[in-house]
Amino acid sequence: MTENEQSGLGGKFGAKTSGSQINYGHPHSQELLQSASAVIRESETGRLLLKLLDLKRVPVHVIKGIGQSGFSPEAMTIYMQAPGSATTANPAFIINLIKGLNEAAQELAGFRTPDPRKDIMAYASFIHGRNLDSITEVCKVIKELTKTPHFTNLLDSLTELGLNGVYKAYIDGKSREVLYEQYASAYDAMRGRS
Amino acid sequence: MIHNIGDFAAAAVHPSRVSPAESTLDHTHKFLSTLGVKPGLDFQAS
Repeated sequence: MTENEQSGLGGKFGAKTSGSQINYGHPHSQELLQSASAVIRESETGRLLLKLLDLKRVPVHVIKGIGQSGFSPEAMTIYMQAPGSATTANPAFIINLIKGLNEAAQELAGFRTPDPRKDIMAYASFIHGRNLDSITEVCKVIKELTKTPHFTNLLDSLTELGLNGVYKAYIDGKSREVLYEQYASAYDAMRGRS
Repeated sequence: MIHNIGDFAAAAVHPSRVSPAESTLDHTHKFLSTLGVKPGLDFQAS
């Protein structure tokens, strides 16, 4: 990395840092993304989402940490987090990558995130709708992976995230309104815990 | 996992407000399917 390549948090993600700079980049970012992509690529919907990575339409930065992962519409970037010791993607990482890819795809497809300063209720409705859509996409990918060895672990991870109700409603072919009720219950429970 | 938007409880948003007329996922999938496809390429005679 040269001085001219520095950006964001004191330098390119994953690059070596110097002086007082903190290196947030994950040392195994490529392995994590490759192992997650290998699983996602086994699903038809997953292959569609991975076009964003294959065609380099959206950057993905893997950061050392245990915080939230997700797509940032402001930076048009997917930020993933994993413990520094992780060398392969766990089910939660895979689920978060599917969700982030879908959110990026929604934004690129023209569903732009509204400005929260203009109408906070419209913003909240939009974000909750996007959350529901991307979680529905996760359910679709997991369903398509039913006959693979990854299925049980992915479903267990979805349950740990409190989203098993959404998955069951999706599998049962319930309406979007019912899916939203399941999502809202999971979201508000998560918010109560934090 | 879930994008947290602070104090805005999901239950406070009526499901009808998050249901677009056209399915967001269908439209997004159509967009993705067009990525990387060069128009007309499939129809060129060799």
